[in-house]
Amino acid sequence: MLFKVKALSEESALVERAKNDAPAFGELYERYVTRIYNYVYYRTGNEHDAEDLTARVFMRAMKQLPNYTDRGLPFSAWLYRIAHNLVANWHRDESRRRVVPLEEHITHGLYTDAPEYVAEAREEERRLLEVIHHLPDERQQLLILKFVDQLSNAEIGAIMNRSEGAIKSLYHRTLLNLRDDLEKE
Amino acid sequence: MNDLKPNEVINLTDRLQTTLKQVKPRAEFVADLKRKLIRESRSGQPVQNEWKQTLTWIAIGAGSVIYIATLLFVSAKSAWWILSAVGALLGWKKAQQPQKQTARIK
Repeated sequence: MLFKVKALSEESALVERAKNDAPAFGELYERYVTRIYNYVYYRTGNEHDAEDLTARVFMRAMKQLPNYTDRGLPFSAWLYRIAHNLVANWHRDESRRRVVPLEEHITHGLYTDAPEYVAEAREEERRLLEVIHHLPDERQQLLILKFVDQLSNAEIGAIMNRSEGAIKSLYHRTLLNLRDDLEKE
Repeated sequence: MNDLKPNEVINLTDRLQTTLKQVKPRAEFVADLKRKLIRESRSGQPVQNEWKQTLTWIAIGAGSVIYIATLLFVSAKSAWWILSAVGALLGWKKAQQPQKQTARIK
């Protein structure tokens, strides 16, 4: 607990410095780029858009940083909110243009076993990713934060501005949702 | 809607863990974006400062030109008055001389 408080205040100091200091912003960037990239990658389903949107998240963060006020939440919560808004805009624009297929390589590179097992496992993952993509935004965000970022319910709560209990219950509902959707397929 | 059985929770969690793994962004992308951000953050403020400096210099330059022009105008005008006055005086003196000569002849 004490460690977390210390880490938060250290982060606040870094954010304050980053308002006027490019290298400090660079430090923040290095700390969060992989997490934001992963969030965007799993929400868009392809590397190209993930890179484009990640760049836009940090560009926007840099421009809006002077207006950032510390409300005791982790800085990542603010970054995730920017990413969430940009991804939502991206989905809106994409749905006007075309239906986005889940990119093949999202499930590539994880297997070294026999080809038939690989194909089957890939197919299972593709199905699960497709079902995840149809979940409401907040449930997708919860799954990404929990499994990709490996955050605890309390940390996810801080980012999503909800209590730990609310996150537990949202997770339970998400699992129910997933099971039913997978059974339907 | 049936509630989840413990084995279903385990199964789903396992599947999620296998599927949702952290992916590494391309190192080249990360480095490029960092360079771009630093360049952008550095170019943002100096550009504003440069503009401020340029405007200040333009204001100083324009002020100096107006000041010097006013000085020149004032001094030229004064010189003109002085010259006119001298000219008028000389002209009056010249005009006086022929009158004196005519008076002597008479």
